[in-house]
Amino acid sequence: MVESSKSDRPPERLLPKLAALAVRHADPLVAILCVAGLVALLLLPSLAKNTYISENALIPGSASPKFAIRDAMNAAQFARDLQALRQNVTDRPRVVRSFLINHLVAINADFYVHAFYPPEPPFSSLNFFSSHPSYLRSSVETNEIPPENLGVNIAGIIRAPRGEGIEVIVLVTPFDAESFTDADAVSLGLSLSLFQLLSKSPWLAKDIVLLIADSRYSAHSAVSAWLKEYYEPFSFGGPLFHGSTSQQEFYARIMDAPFASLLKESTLADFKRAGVISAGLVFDMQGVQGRLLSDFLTVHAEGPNGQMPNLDLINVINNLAVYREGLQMKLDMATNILEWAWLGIIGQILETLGHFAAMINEGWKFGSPAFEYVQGAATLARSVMLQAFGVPTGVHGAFRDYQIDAVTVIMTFAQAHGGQVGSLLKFGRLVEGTIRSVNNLLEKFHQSFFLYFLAGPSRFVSVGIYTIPLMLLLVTLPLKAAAVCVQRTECSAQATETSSPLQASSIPVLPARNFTNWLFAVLTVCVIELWALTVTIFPPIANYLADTSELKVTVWGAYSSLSCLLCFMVLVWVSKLLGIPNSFGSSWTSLKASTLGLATIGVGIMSPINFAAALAGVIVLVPMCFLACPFRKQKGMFQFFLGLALCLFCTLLVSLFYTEQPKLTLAMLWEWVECQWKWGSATYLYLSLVHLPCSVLSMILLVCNPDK
Amino acid sequence: MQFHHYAVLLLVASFPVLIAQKLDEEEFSEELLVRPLPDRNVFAHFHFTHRLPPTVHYGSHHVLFPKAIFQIVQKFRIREMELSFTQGRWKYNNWGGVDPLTRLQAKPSGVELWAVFAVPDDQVDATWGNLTHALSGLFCASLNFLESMVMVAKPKKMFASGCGKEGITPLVCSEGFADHHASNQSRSKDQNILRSRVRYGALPREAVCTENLTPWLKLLPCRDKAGLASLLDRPTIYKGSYHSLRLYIKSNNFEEHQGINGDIGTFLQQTLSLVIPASENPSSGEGLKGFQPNWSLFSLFGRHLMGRCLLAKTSALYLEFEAPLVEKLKQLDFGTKDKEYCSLAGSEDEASLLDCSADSSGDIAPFSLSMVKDNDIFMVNGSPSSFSLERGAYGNGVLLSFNIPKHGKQQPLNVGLTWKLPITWSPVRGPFRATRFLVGSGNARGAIALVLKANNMPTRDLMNLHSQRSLEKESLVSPDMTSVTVFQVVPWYIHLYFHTLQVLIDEQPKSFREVIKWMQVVPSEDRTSPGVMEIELKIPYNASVITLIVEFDKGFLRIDEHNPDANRGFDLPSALLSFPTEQSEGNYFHIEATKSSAHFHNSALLEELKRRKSVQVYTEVLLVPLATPDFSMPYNVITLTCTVLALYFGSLLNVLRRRVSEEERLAKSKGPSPQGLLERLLSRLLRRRSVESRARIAKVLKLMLVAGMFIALNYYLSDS
Repeated sequence: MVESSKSDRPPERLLPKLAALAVRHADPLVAILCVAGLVALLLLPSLAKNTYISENALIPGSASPKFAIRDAMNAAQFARDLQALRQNVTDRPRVVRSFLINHLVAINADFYVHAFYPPEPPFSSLNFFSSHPSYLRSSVETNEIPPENLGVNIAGIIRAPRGEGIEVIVLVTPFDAESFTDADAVSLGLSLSLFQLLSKSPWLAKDIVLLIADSRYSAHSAVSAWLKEYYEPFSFGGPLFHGSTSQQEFYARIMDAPFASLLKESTLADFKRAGVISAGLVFDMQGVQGRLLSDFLTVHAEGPNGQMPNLDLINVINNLAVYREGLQMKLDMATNILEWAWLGIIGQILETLGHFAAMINEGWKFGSPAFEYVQGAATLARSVMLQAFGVPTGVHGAFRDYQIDAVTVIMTFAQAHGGQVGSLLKFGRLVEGTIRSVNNLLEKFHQSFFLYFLAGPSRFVSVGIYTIPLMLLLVTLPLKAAAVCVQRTECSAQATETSSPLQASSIPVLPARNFTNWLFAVLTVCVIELWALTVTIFPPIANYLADTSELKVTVWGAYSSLSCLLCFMVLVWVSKLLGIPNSFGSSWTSLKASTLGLATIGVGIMSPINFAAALAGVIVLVPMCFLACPFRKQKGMFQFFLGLALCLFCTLLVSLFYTEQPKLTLAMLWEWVECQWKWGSATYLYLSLVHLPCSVLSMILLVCNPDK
Repeated sequence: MQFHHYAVLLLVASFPVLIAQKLDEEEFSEELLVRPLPDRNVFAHFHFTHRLPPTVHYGSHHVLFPKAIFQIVQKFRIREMELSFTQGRWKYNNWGGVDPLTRLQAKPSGVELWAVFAVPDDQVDATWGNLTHALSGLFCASLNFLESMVMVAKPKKMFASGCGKEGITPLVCSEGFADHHASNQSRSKDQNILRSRVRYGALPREAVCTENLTPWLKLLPCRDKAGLASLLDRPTIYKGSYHSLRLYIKSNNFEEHQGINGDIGTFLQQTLSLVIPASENPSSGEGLKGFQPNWSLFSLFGRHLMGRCLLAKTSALYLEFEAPLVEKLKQLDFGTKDKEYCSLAGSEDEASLLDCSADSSGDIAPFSLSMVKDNDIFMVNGSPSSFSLERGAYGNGVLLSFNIPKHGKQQPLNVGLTWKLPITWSPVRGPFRATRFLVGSGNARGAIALVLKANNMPTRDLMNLHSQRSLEKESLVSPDMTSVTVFQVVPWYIHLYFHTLQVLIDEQPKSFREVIKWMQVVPSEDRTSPGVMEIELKIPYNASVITLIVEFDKGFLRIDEHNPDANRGFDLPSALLSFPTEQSEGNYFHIEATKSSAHFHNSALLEELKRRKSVQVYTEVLLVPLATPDFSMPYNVITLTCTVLALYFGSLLNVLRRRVSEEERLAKSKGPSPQGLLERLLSRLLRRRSVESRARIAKVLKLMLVAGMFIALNYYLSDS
């Protein structure tokens, strides 16, 4: 077609020519790109690379661990002491705090007590974008909060004997002095024992802070309050206490009398700092599982909005755990998809393909055994899902707000008794080794990846690979939009019987009509977007209006549907004002193009903020681009069913990301929204400002009638 | 006795030197002060002093004085200079903050250098540059990085000299060193001139090791072969938690009135301060819980002190017990006996104090030598030659002196301490404890906060009383005010916004008129000079928290301005706080002597400690993470830029050269376009085919050729 008209046309430039070609053959191209994108997505688990330690300074495991049996027994002893303190029912927190402070005094470390306000209940303020949890403030000034309700963190600092104190590693153990389990006591015992060991270590180059975070209100808010005080002490607005007498009263109330002398020297309440935090390590214990044969640890790393710590930190832990301590490292896995037949079949196919490729050329071997593929897919799916939710999976999320690399290590012991000291020894050596590695660092973590998905404890998918499916899928949206536009102009051109169709493509024939159609389409998109915005910020009002979560969701839903109807009526009224008969039907192509544009922009913006959410979202959005077509058009039926089929497949893909099939109740939905709101997750905005308007616009497109 | 030895040595060396009396001869003295610290460490301070008579009388040929230093002094016309190499940080809260020794040796980690020159103002910068190079060569340190004025400040008041080391105000200086003969007016004029000739620089990241120690030891007449320096076992002294090597020079050679009154010409002070762990063998220390570790010189240093350096005029060892420990001693040891002691607080002069000790002399005297030597709490090993009382503003310490015997005559002097009771004491802390930290995170903005918190020491009342006295003399600030001077140098890539400077006293923001007595602020200039902040604050006495906040922007560095370890961040040198109203001075009252203690009266160390100086505190070094580029980027950027430029120039030339309509006309007139080699070949081979089919075959052939080349290349590469 192009060649035939070559003779009587000036030679075209390459790029516009290619673009024109692509737009002309948009439909097959879109189909190919879509399939390629989905295939690339399914290939991700087998494209995962093995992790490696990128920063040479870390040298994990190069020094022999100093954490000996005696320290493990110390840890067990601390745990037993703490458990014994639980007998004291009347004033447990006070006794526990005194025990901890006594211990820190014996270690001869710097220490202090940091009191903080309880966090605000959700939806009480509109500071959505500041992801730090906000704390109650005003009510305290009027003494509404009794001092007992203040959270109390205890922090100890070891000053590196020969260091300059400009960098620090923070160890966090969440601990609730009011109600703690045996597992909590063991994890705190281990951290105290480690702290004691580290205080005698001559090799420290960075200071060590042990933060015993009061997890009464959630460990995250405790750590976050501490970090806020550490980094932004003057933004709080004022001192916690007015006058030293109230402060002394407070400290007298929360702990035993002998520490009054410490308070006198005012070292107890003095918030001490120790330089730039280079890494955070949170460790916690899940408890004892009798059925297990060996101890294992789980690492959580997902921060707010899917931000991950440097991969080297996870590598170091994995390296030490697996190769030195003989511990198993586990990651969260979408366990239910392990049995899925279709995933297994894909794994088999990839395996055979890999074999074939290997037969042709040894270097082309790519596939892994089907079982490994399924396992990788399950881990990867879970990793993507956790990142996509945009909610931190643990206390380490608080560190991420200040660009500090931090992970949570959760220990699980195999046996209840007898083997505990052995397990403590292993975990103690693991944590000591990790601290030693980070201590070796001369610079902050920067060598390895920050953007990655984990496909296994020692396998990862880096940013270079996982952008491919997103890009392939995303490029279909503008392509389809362009194709729709060109079709529309050509249609109108043919309708007016212009002699040269080529000229028509460049000069619109009915500029006025076209312009009003476009204007109306853009207006529709804007109005729907505005509606989506009001729906987005409605939850606090719903929270205020109703009591139970079901009722709240009902109020929210009722508001959304009513206001949507209102918007629709406004649009119809505007179209009458503009004098467009059958407004939606006649401008449906412009509307579709604008919808696709909106989707492209939305996903494009989301991908740097939270890539995983954008990736999961685009799988839903792309079939929508096929689906969105007036149902009453001639080709509409066919296209609809094609879209539906694709949609089903994509649903299947999206279902990968759900671990357990929960009974989706209204209350759960509300809880989810509350959680998203609390953590300031961008996923919520993404869903409500991109997916919601896109689906409403698609529905409008579906029901409008162009042939009227 | 020493003099005799000295003369013998000189005769042997057949060195004709006129040996004059008093200050007309060179003097060298070596001293060591050891003090147990409350946190199971021991503080050791080596103090070596050289004195040289003025050059006008003495000439420039010396016997003891190191030539390297004299040459530097002469060449760069140094009036005063101090250089320190420090590893670790001085813990003001654990190791003491106000005593004169802390004031002398507590230095910021890394290297600090300041100097006052006797050259015209326009030559100061050049002289400073040359000095840094000379010192960097002499001490094997990267001091030459201080040559460029990027990190060098010109303090107005902080280091301006004329009186010992610190001249905050002329009145404080009046008891100073070597300027009592000048009139007040001329001195203040002198000071103004001097102030413009002071330079200060610091390298917080400089690593300190034996390469700096060895040249420092070479300046001593006995090196580390004899005398106190022979104790310096390298692994031991670098094992400790604090290590500060210091060199201080003062020269009067360039004064107008040099040589009058028998002044010292050039004065060189070399000190090495160490904090070393006392528990050498864990069996003795850890067995008994709560006990302070026992130690002796041998257990601390791993070497024996065999004898003195024969060239030294005085050679002494002091064992110091801090005032709070002595207080404990009094309480524990004698408290039960219900004895009346004479009060030492207040303003007794030396005579009354001596009377007081004389009154209580006898078997149960609180401050008798035998009691201090062996009491219920500890026992001192070794036989002290004299015993003196150390009166500071905060209480009375005790100082035991030991004569160092001549080499080989006696057993090695192994002074030590054995504890009998578990005891804890807290050291004398400064008026305030200071912390400096960065506020904010991220790579764009931030703030530097300096927080001073009052130490609620029980002795604070006494200190206030003392300060009141000094204030009466000063009468510059109202009596209920104390003052603090803050000196802070900030590199240019931290753009300080001085208009955001805030001073909060007890969390309440104060206006500048209320709190600032004097200030000098020099904004930084990019790549030229650092920002300097020198502020003198006046603070009410009862203030408990003082906060200074300055906001800053982080600058962008060029790629070649980054350190090799750019991702670590950039160091901000320590800030220096000075408390002019809090004086650190020690008065030493000689009380009891068993043997001849002639050295005591001309001890250079004690003389130095007697000098009145204001309390100083160095804050922490800060680390500022700056935005760092990905250093693999330059390669990418270069390739990308080159590609873009090539594309741009190619298309530009194409557009400029080509005339499309002209070409079309030409193409039409010429007819079919000229054929390529392959097409011509094909046209010969396949004459029967049409032109179109020939073109198609040519295309396919070309494609196959390219594919074949690729396959061959792949095959070749995979094989190799």
